[in-house]
Amino acid sequence: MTLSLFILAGIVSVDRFIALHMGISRPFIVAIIVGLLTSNITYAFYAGVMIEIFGLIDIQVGTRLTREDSFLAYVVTVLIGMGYIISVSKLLLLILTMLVLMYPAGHTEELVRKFNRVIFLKKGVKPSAFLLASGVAVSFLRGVIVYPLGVYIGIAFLRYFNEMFNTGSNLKVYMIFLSVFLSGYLLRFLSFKSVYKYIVFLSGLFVGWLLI
Amino acid sequence: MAADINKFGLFLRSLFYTANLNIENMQGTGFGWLLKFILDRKKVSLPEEKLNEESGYFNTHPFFITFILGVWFKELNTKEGPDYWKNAYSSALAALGDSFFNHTYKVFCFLVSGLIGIYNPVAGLIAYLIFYNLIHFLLLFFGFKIGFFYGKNLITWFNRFKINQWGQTVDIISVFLLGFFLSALMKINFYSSYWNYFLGAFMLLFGLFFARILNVAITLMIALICFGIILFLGGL
Repeated sequence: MTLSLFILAGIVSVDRFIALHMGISRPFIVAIIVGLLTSNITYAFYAGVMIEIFGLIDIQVGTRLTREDSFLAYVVTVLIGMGYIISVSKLLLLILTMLVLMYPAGHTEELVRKFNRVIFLKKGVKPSAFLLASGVAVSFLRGVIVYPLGVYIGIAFLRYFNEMFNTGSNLKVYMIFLSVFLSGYLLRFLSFKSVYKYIVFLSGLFVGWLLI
Repeated sequence: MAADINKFGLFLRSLFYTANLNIENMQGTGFGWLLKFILDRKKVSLPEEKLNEESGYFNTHPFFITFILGVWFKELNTKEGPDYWKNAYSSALAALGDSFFNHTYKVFCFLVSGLIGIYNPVAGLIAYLIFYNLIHFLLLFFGFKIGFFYGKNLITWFNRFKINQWGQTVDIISVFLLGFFLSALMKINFYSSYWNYFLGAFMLLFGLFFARILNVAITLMIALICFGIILFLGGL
């Protein structure tokens, strides 16, 4: 892995909860940036679309920790970019594994909050730049450790199954159909009067089909 | 007094004020830090005890922090004091930010950028960052001035733009765009065959059905296993 991928992991982690809040941590953005850094932008884009739709359904309200969709996007697109995923069956297997690993990865965000609490209680209530800088540093470190760790686990996993699961070569088709499947969730997630919603959606489908 | 604050300095700092987020005082440390920055710049003195008090529990949506700071300064020497309005607006703007930006606006930005990205992913990336951050940065940049001008009546500024109705309007546009996006995704990447169209419609209906009964992560896992089985049986 290159240095730029490590730095990206740190920035993504910081952007998720701790600072910036600029959307850099959205799976769609993570995937395209990783695609640019690994020179495999097309597959990274379609993986980003799929994971973004998956992530959008989990709304961030108040202090609730959402699913680590950035981790999922980062690991999957880095491994696609590095050429480890050469078959559809390997892609499906990797996403399945990373969906499980996403939960412990998400819990490390809880650890950052705990660290912030400890340092806040230790340093007292006086507001200082040090408290904020240490929060950014720890979150950055979390990204630099946790995200690449996911990549290395993914590599070990794929190497273990090197001789198996080599069926299918058209990754894009499967990623698009998975995106369409997840869009059912997104459609239900968007809230306004149900009947009109489906009429508007069908007109979008129809207009899109006609115009493109 | 405080309306002519260095907007750019405050804007940059407001991007980092949540960095000490924790369950004890939430964003309180950052709020106190921003308050101290403005007080120092304007050479306004506040008892240290009072400043430390302001680092207590505080939580709002990060896009609206400068509005609350503006209101706080406006109400500093009033009978009710600034903290009553700080608490009132922090909760109200947290709810507004969560429902509009986290629920609605992210979907809209993604669909617009996704459509652009099908043709050029880098243009999609740039479009997303511009769409998402244009409002974000404008709110942070001008929030203090607006909050200070309106003070406790800040709600009238939000009502002027009927912001509570934006969510539904943007959701309607997003639903249309979702249909448009899926059509584009299919038509640009596949041959226009009845089989692909049927399969796409079938997947979507499956998604709609499972969305009623199952968590998305579990459903995605089941879908991945089903796709794997389909793959071994001959593929799509």
